[in-house]
Amino acid sequence: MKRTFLFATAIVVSFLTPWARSADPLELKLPNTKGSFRFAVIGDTGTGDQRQRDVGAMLERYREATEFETVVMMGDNLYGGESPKDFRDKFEVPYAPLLSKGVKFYATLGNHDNPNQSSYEKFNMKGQRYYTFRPRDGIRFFVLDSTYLDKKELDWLEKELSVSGSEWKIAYFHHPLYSSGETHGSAIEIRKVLEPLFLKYGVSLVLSGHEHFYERIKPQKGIQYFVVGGSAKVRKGDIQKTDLTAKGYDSDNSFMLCEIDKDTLYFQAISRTGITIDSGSFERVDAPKAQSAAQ
Amino acid sequence: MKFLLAATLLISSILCAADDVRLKPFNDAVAKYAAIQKTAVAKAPALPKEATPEQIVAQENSLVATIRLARPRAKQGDVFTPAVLPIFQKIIKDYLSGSVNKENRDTAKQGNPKYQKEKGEKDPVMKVSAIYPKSASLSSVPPGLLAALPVLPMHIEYRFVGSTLVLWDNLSNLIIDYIPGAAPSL
Repeated sequence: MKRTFLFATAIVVSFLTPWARSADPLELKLPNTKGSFRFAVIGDTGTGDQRQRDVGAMLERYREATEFETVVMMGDNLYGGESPKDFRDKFEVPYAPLLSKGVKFYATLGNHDNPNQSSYEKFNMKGQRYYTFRPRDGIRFFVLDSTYLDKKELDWLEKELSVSGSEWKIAYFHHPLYSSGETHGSAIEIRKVLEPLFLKYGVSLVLSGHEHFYERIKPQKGIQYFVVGGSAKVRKGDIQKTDLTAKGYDSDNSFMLCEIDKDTLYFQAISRTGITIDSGSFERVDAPKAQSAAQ
Repeated sequence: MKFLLAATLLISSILCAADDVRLKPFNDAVAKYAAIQKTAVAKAPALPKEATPEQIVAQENSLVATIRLARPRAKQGDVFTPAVLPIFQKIIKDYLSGSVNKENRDTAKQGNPKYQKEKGEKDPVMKVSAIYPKSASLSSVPPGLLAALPVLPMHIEYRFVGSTLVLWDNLSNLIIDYIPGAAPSL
């Protein structure tokens, strides 16, 4: 019954979103290597409006091309209310084509999200405000609640990082530790408690949202940071000129695709209308302490 | 030098112990609320870890009804009693006032409904046992301040709404108590 609903919704959505029907060829920059792990990143999504549906439709086109099975969400999953109708309109409908194909979404909590979202079946948080998951051997995600980093959460994070033997450690949460946004900027107090742990245990990649744009930060102390918070809202012209920015995009909505193949992560940021706005690759951080802990 | 260090440690431990005694009414009131919350959860429709939105709402509604029934005369100051107010005010002042604490203030403004409001969002109404609306944003709380404030049981949190410190039940969304103007610098 649920599958039928999602399938029917997927068909309706595909007719309502012009980008989904576009015959333009996709500009796929990822190597799309057989056996690699591919995932998508979206942030600040929960508006339920046409822009969110456009991004959802473009995501589906790239899923068809890359067959990613995982989407990570940077928070602010539902704006302005959390009734059953809100869950449908602001999540299930925009991503119906993906959900109907069995793609799994893993959410984090933003400042607009009630913690009870952690029990919602399709966010895969299993009732936890912060959690970890390993989609593939050697790759582990650490998902944090950055609105309320109490000692319990920080102790949990350190323990999980210390025992993880995964070569790829990826953290994501709502508030960016580095950002050139005029509206919010870098979350410096949060950085003070998280960055030392990321450095100590060899986190390679940190993803966040909150700012309604895309920004790739120049590597900070060897860690690669991305802000992906423009997947439904966009703050045009909000990226200020700073020394942090490697690439910024604040003129339309966007999302990001990633592909991990052995020690390399490839990324491609894409606009709502399918324009590639950034792409590249980097190697993972070596983490001798974490590796020795796993041996 | 050693004497100075020992004296400082002794004084701070005496002050901490004094605070512990002064905070007892607060800790007792919080524990009492947590017990009510626990009973309410037991009475509510079970919430699986992979729930539907309907199941989430059903549990929240049940919790609200049971907790309100269990605290019919709850009022502001029942948990943040007058005796403990100076302790909270001092801790908050230490972490949020002055030029050295600008970054802590910036953190407490993140998501604070006074500073960040999306179109159509309304400020939460500050009233004990009122629901903190899901449409309203939740403030960040600086990690350093959280570490300095008395530890709370799971599912009870501190949040800021403007300069008000709110004690919030994150399962039922009920406001347990609040201190108006606790953070004058916000």
